[in-house]
Amino acid sequence: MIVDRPGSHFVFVVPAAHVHERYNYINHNGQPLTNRQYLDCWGKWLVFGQREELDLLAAQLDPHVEARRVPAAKLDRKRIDEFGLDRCVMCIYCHVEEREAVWEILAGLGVRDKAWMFERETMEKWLPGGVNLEKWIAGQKLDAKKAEDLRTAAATRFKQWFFDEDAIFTGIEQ
Amino acid sequence: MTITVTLNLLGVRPFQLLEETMTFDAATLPTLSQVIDRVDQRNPGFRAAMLDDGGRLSRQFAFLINGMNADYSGGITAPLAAEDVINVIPAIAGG
Repeated sequence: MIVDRPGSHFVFVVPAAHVHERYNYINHNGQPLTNRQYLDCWGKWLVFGQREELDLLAAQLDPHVEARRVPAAKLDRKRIDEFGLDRCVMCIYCHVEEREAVWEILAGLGVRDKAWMFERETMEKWLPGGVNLEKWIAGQKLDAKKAEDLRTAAATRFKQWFFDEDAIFTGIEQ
Repeated sequence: MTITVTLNLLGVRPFQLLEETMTFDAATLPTLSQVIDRVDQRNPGFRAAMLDDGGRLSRQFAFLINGMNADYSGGITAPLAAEDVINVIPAIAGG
C-alpha cells in the first residue's frame, strides 16, 4: 500500500501487513536481519524521475510489494533543491541476494538506468567526514562548535543504532 | 575491432543532459579514468568536476558501473568492458 503522510519528506510503498500487523519487510527468506546483516546486505535500487513519473512507478510497484516480490520502496515528496538535485529519487529496497530479481521487475516496468547502493554506503555519507553531512553543515553556515556538536550527534546516533551487531535491526525513523 | 561504453549523468548539475556512448580500441580496454578524459576533451572542466584534489573519484558523486559502485572495482582505475554503462549520480541520492 502507498503511505503518503504529508508531514514526511517521503512517500512509502510498503506491504499492508507492515502497517496493520507490524510485518517486518527488512528480511531475507523470512528471517529478520541483524544490524550487521542490514549494513552488509540491505540496499536499494535508485530511480530518478519527476514526481509524477515516480508516482506512476509507485502505483505499478504496489502489487509487487503486496506480493512480497519487492520488499518496499520510498520516493521523495519533492525535489531536494538545496542539494542541487534536479529530480526526485525513488529507493526500491531489497536484500543484495534479491537485487537482480527486483531489477528484472523494475526493468519490466521501464526503468533503464541501473544504480545500486548499500545502506552502509548511505550511512557513511551521513557520518562525520561524510560528504552529505559535511555538505549539509556547510549549507547551514554553523559556527565550529555547533558543527562539531552535529558531527558528534551523528556518530552517537549511529553507535546507538548499530552497537550490537547481532541484534535484530529495528529500523530508523524517517 | 572496437568496443563501446556509455557514460550517463543522472541529475548531476551542470552536466545533467550529458549521455555519451564512446568507442575504444578493444585491444586496450579503457579504464574509468580514460572515459572521463574522453568526455573532458569536449567538455572542459568535466574531469576537474568528477575528481577530488588527489585525483580520486569525487565523493560528491557515486560512480556506478553497470549499476554497481565503481569503488568496488578499482575506482578511477576500474577496467571497463564492451557495452559497459557508467552512471554517475549525486552523492545525496539515496538518502
